Amino acid sequence: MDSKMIWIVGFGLVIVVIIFLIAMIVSSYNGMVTLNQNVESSWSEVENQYQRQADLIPNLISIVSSAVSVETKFVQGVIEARTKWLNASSIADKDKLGVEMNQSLTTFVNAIATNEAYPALQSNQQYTALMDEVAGTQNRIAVSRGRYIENVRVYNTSIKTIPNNFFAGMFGFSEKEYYQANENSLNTPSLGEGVLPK
Amino acid sequence: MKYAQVLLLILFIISFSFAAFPSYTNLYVNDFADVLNAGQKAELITLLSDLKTNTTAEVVVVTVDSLEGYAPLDYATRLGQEWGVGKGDVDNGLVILYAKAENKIAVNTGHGLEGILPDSKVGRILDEQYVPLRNAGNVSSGIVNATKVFVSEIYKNKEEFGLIKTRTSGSFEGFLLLGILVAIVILYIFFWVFNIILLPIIFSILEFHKTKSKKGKVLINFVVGMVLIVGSFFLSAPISIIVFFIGFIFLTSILDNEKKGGFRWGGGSFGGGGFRGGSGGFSGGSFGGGGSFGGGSFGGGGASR
Repeated sequence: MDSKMIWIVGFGLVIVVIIFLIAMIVSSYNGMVTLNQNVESSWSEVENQYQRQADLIPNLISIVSSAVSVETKFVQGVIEARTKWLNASSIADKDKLGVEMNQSLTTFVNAIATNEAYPALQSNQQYTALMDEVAGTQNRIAVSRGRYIENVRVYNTSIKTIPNNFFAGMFGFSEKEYYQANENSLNTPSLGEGVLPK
Repeated sequence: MKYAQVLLLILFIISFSFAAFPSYTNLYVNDFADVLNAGQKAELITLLSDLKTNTTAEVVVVTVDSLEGYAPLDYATRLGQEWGVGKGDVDNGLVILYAKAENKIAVNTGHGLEGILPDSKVGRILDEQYVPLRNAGNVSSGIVNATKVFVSEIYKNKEEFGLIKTRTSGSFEGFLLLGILVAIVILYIFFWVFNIILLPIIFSILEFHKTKSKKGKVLINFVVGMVLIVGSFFLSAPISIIVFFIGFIFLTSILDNEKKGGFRWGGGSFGGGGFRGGSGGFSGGSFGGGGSFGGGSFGGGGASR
């Protein structure tokens, strides 16, 4: 091959490689931004649902305690968990305490369900409506939390694998942590299904 | 980008390959557990296909033998999400799920229906329409009655689905990326085309063959190379930019038109294509229920009894 041809082909290749590299960096960066956004938006959905649950708790307690007597420790447990969640600041804390709030609410609801005076509540329409909201919210928390964790996992995998791992540090994308809740802590099958103790 | 999408797809496939949910055979009624009789099925199919034609809302009645350990609402949410019940951009899907073994009903609302059917309202409708009939041992009539009330609630608020939301950013990005890729290919082709055209012109100007020294040859080669690259680039760049814009406008106009017809490109959970019954076609009658769901998404709202 003629030397002039080598020059031409060489320069052509350099330009192509540069264009390719730029395209790769841009797409890698955009990919990480998108995944990061997914994590953030899915977290805000989880937080919304926790907030919704926190808002339902006072109503639930006031309706329940006006109709039946519940052991004080259950009521206090829910109130404390709610206050703790409201005071949490970091995402990790909010998620951990959110799960705890969820659990204490389940304990509270189960305590009512095993109470002998429960049929009196069952005929209370406000209570039934509220229980549906509580059950719906718990299911929403489970769903949105599952999606959040999945998004974190996808994001973490993405920044640790080729080619994003070359650029992640450069653009300030770091690994995200999430709170790994107890397997069964978010399963509340007996809740809000109108199961009456026999 | 592409890489992440492939990764997502793989994770997505893996995550669903563990959950053995049945595939739907009909868009309106999937009576896997043989709970409904033929007359009830036909009635529901007519009711629900009319609802879809008039409001775009997708309501599906499903009966299964067992929940396989899931909580009723949880199962309904996962099923609705996996099937993509509801129109993708407004998420107006509703899953009415009955599990025979557990004797449980769960009604799960898509994101877009949570406003007109809040959990407490879903629960109340079930209490009024379904629970008395279930207690009397007539589950199928209870399902039909409750479905009728859910349908009438959606009809009452049908204007909520009258407008299609603006184009999703995901599909816009997709087209932009496609446009850039096409432009790069065009740029590359024209780059070499102009190289070939410019080459003899530059050679004749420089009178390349008259240079004797080796150093001079190298220098001239370098100059020729630079001129070719820069020249070709500037000549081919406008062409690729024009091609990019024409292509982009063309693709987005296709997108807009397809959207009006109900087509969905990417985005959403199950948004990959699928045609909607629309007017005529398979909707209604004994053939109702062909095609696929619109890729709606579920947040977990609803109630169960």
